[in-house]
Amino acid sequence: MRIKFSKEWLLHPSAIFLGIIVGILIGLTSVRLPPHLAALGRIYLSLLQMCILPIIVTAVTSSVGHLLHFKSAKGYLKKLVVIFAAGMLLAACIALIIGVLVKPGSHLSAEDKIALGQSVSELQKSAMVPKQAEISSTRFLDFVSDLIPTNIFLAIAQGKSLPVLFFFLLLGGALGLLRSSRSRMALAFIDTLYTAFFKIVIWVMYGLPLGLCFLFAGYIGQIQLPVLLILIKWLVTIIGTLLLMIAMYTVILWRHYGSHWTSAIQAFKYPWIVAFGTSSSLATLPAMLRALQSGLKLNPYISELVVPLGVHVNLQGSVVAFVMMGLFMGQFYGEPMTLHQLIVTGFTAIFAAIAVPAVPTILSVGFVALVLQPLGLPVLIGMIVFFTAVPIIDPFITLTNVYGNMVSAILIDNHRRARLD
Amino acid sequence: MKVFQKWILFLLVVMHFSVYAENVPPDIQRILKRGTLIVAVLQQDFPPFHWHDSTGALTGYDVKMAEDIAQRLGVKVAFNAKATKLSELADEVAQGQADMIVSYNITPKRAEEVIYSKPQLLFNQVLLVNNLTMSKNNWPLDPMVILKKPNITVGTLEDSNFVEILKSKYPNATIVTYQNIEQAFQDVKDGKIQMVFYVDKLIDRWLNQHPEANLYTRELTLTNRMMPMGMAVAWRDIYFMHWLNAYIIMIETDGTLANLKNTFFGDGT
Repeated sequence: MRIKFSKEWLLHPSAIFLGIIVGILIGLTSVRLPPHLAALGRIYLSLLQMCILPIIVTAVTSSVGHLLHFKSAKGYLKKLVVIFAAGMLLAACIALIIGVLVKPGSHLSAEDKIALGQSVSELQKSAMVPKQAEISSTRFLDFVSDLIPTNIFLAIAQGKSLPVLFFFLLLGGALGLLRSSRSRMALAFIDTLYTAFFKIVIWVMYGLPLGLCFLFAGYIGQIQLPVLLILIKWLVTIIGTLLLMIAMYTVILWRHYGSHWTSAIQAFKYPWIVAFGTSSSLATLPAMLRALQSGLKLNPYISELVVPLGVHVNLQGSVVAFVMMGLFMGQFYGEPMTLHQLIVTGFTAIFAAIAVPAVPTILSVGFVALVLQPLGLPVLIGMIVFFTAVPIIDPFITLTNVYGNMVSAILIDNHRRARLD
Repeated sequence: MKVFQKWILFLLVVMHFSVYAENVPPDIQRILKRGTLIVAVLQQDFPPFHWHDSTGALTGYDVKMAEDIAQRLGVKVAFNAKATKLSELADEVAQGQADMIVSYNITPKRAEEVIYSKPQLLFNQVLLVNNLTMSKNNWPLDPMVILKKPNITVGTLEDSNFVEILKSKYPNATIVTYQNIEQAFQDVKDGKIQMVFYVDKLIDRWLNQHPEANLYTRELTLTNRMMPMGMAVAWRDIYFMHWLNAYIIMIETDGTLANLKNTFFGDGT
């Protein structure tokens, strides 16, 4: 019997799982190999993210441009804002309730504190954690002012996605409101570019099993087991809360699709794996769009707006992680967390999640300052604790962000589709 | 006349030989004749400079260096531990109760009483700040800015040069002095005082011994602010001071100084 090999097999979840398992095995058994493989993994991640900004730019411009041709666009945008805000607030509330009930930061033993202190001292010296002085003391007004690009080309060159997004939302709006044949031609041209960029990403996706193998070998090599064991209660609380969020999204799907909810799960399988493997919402963006458009037949204009926007401003998993960081530090230092402080924690966590660039969480460790500074808690210690925990929690955070975003898109599309029909 | 000339010649020869016999300067000869080098140390333990180990024997950076100096001079070593304050160490040397102090902060005031060798230890001045206090007050990372803040409480070593620095340069600070500086470190960790003003290597050493303190404190180095320590002798022991300078050059080049620093301060200072 001759086995016929198809390149499509490389996109199949079983091939991706195989890559992940081989990566974990290499990470567990080899000491020398993981750092080299992690470097290769980062190259693959760069390749995957290469077309993301062009996809975001073309998707957002095209979708806003097309949507503004519909009269009910305003109501639809309102729904988007409400669902995003409600999702983020809900994530913050759930994390606050669980964090206050479980108290993951209290009652660390003297031995645990010694081991944690040693780790903090080593990481401080190793310069792996960004220096506190290097963290931009991002305040709300700075954040708003940074949102508006003074030079759009510079913002693109610097990879500042939020200002770029802001600019192209306006460009899409302007093209949509022109309502001329030329503007339609321009939108059609942008649509073509979007499809071409998407095609490139699909080619890169064929390397996903190998890329994930490299990335996982690197992750496992990074894990500092002794410190993680000290933080185990906190880690379990975060991961448990994220899994609860995931369960909640599944219930929403079940309520939304009734008996057909399993077909949604089937379509989401691929973006889930990419999210879990790359720990990057941005890298998962093409997979999300593909699942929503090809798998669930959502209105492409809606998903092309909701998903790219969502990977920047609808990061419910990140909100959970930032809330838990604030609570852990407050409980560890024995600070009485009053209702006022809990509310501050919730809102700063939402702000931090939006301010964080859509990169793997490890690169955004400095943003814990946004949560810890208003609470008067030591930022550097928080950064080091977060840095240590990231290799374990990041895949779950990204998975929650991605799933939350796709469910948001479905809810928003449902509303829109009803009117379009 | 010839007899007189012969006597003159004889006297010159005798004087020449007596000068040759007295070729060792009087201050060094005093130590050699006594057969013991007397080193002034504080009465109370002052690790890592000197302290009593579990067997009751005196050990530490100053003790080992004093033993090495004595060995190179070919004499024994004895320790004068009458002083209870740092300033009293200079008194012991000035009054001839001790020959030298091994590690002594170089300050203009003390230089009026004793003379210093070239520095053999050079520390950075640092602030060890309570982490929570720092975050709550939103203090910057610059320790010199923190020291100028109003209503701050700074701990430091009693009778040390740090008290003078704080009084003259940072008048806003309320100074709390400690005879045992390690108690001050502990009090910063426990939040009883806001910060300690001291030197880097001794704080690093304490943090290595108490790793959990890394979670509660933050070490901030003052830029271009050093704390030199030299050997001190009485003003009249000028030749011995020259000998000690030559000794420091020797131990800097034969690895002895680096070994001592590594042993007692964790790494080279």
